[in-house]
Amino acid sequence: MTRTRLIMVGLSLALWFGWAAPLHAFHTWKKKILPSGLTLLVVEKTDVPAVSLTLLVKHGTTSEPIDKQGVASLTARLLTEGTRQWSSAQTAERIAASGGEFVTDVDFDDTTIDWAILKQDLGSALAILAEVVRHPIFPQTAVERKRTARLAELKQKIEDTPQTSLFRALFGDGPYGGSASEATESLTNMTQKDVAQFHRRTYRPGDIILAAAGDVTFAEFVALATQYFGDWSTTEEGENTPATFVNTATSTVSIVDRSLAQASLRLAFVGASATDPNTPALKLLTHVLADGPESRLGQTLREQRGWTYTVRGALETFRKTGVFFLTMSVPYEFVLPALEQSARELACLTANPVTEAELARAKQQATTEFYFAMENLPDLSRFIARYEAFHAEQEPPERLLGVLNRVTPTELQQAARQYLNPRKAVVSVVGDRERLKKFAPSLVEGKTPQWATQCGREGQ
Amino acid sequence: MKQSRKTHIWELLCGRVRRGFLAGTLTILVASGSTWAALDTGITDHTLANGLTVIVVEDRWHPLVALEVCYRVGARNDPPGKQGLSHVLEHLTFRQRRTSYAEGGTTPERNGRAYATTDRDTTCYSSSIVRDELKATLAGEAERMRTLQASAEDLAHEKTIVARERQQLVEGDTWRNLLEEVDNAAYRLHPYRFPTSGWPETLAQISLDDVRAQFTTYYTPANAVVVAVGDVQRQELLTMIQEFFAAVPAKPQPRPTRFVEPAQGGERRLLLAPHAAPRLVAAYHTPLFSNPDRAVLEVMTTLLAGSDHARLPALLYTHDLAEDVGVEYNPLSHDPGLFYIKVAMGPRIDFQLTGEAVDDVLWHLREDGLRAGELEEAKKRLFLDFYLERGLSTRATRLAHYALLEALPQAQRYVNEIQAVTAADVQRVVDRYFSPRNRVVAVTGVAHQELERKQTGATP
Repeated sequence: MTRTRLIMVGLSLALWFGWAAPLHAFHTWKKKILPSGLTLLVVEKTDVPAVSLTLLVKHGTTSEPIDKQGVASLTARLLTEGTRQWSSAQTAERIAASGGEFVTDVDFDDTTIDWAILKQDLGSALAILAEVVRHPIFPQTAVERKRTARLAELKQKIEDTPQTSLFRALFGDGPYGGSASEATESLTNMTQKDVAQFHRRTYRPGDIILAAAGDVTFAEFVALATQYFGDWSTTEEGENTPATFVNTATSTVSIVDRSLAQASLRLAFVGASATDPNTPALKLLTHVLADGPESRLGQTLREQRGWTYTVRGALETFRKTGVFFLTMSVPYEFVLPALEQSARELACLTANPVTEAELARAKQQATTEFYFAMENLPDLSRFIARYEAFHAEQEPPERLLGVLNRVTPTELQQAARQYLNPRKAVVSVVGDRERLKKFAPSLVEGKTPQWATQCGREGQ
Repeated sequence: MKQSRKTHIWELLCGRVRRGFLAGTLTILVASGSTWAALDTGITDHTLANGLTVIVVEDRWHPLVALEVCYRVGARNDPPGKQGLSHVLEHLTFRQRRTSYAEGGTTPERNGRAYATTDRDTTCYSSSIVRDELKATLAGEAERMRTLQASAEDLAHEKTIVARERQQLVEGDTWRNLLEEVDNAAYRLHPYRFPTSGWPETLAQISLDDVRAQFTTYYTPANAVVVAVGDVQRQELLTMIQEFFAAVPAKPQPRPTRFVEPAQGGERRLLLAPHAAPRLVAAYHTPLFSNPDRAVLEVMTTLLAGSDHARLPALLYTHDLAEDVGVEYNPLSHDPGLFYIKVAMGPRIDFQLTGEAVDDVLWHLREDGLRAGELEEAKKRLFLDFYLERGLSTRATRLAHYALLEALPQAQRYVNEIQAVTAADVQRVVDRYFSPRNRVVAVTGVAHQELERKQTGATP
């Protein structure tokens, strides 16, 4: 994944929350599907003379052939490295003249290009976007250069982050469990032909959403988009997204040795997909458990014991599945106690329903978080593109208002039972191995903690 | 083509940051002349009889209000030997509100999103709430301004939490660690050399009397500003503020704290953490907020590192000398701050060559000036940043910080300042501030360079 997970968290929330929040102006986007199948979306917001564009391709790493891991990212990185009309330098010059950042992002289920420009540059920006998306030529020298750079990044990633091993532990060798080392292996032999083929099969107008938020009217945008994308057609057979997903998670522990003053802990659970009816309950559980000092873990780990500055919960949702995270940073001597206490709190959530007051607070926090995740134009264009990608055939947002507020304590309890079983937690610890050996030797040996299964706080 | 970036709250408060490492920007208020008037519409300010400044901006795009209550007190106001005092006070006031909640009271933390931050110059309490929560939140903030309730146990607990925060966010972050060392070397007398969290040794010196004295001195109406941006009606809000804050007793303004920092007079170099990730920072002393060169320095952030094609990345990436490069500058510093150039070393780890490359970029800017169109692109990027960072909370924070500098944004003046920057100004400013004798250079990870030299057989 090339995009920060922080952004994903906000978007995961947004993907289902769009129908849960009160209808406000920014929800009223307009939509048109061009004859080619390309979907246009517009949110008109005219207070500043800028427009944010998001072009979303409904294919990411889960669309990669099994022996071509890494091709989605390589393809995205090569879009601006030369087209039918322009060289890499000419493309870069045109993008730079807009003043905005041209940001590509490849995730499990999609590839996005985010680009914000001044209104005066909208026409030229769409011309550039159309050119790089429709007519890249993937020059051999650029393929080799980008492949080398990507391999170096992956090498660093394998050394630095537990993320890829964590997803492997959660999802096995399924489409969401691809590892950096496997991508490294297949990238080494990847050719220009592989990239071009992936591009032909995935960058197809019917699989693309082009969203705009800002100072542009729907009519203006449709006219401009039609000018640059209207004649796009393809006869190439499309790529099918993997249809199956199997939850293979069992509890595992991974240690990343790094010289840190405190150990950074992460518990991960397989969650629900973006459109799963359990997702709102899981989102609320992140707030109940770990959102600020008043949350359950905030109270027990920070307020009562002083073990951590902050503990956070997060939910990421994908097309077929999702991940529920708890993260905290604690002194080494509290690593095992903090994990045990977390397990106790999870056990309490499965044993008893949350109080109405807790649930009301969680709903309010989630609502506010959603709105503030959509504050800026780039957030808006990205949100509507991803919402459309996952919900196009479903009810419009206004018909689904109130879903969040209808979640009950019992539904939260059921979701906790179904998804947050400590015995299936994947634990990653980043910290000084020697200090971990002293205070948490069992973890260093790869043994999972003896998780509490009974509700009841230590010392109570 | 840029890929991914992150934003954290603390980064937002660190000022203008360019490229990879950090992406938050709060400190810029620039716009094209024709639109600024519209952007400024609705910003009103008011001063209560007790001296409290109130700023209101009506914006109903979201059904939310961003409320910012800021005090002109930060690490620069910590007494010698008691570094961290302002930060501990912030924690205690936040804890006091939470205690009320646990007892069933209404507090700013009850719903929505709330957090507090202490930086070098200010302490801010930020709430993002729905309109219905406004009254309760304002009542809580007025109570916070009026009263400090803290026991010895509370103080001991929050000192622990501040220490944990430092371990997690500073000692666990190599960049922040490095910049803290740079600050410490850049100043001889000024308290900007000290971290906002202090150290365990200075935290241990803080007594309840110290906390109460700091509160009494600085948490006063005339030393504070209340900013509300969002779904508010101006008159209704002012009435509420009058109701809750007018009763907070007026106190004398804290005596202005002025510090003298002797001219540096020669380059300072730091060789740190040889086995840490290889990084280089060059930090240059800059003038006060009121100095017109501030606008030129803001333009320089984009010229140097506003995109992959800006001066620094263009040179350093081409020669594999950087994996990432960025600049950081906070023009809203209450006293003269620093302009940081930050390089995460690339595949070719050569500190000497990288330092020379940075100097080379600056030398060419000073001697050769700018290329045709380069200045216009940089200004365009500044304007875009402003347009794209228009969220309620961003605006509230920005307005509060300007107000504490007693410089409520005068839009047209800012536009004029940025627009008036010429290529000759850039040359002059480079000549004036970006000299070796005015900087601190710090490096980490030299052991990696030695290792690479051994592997490649290169000579130093």
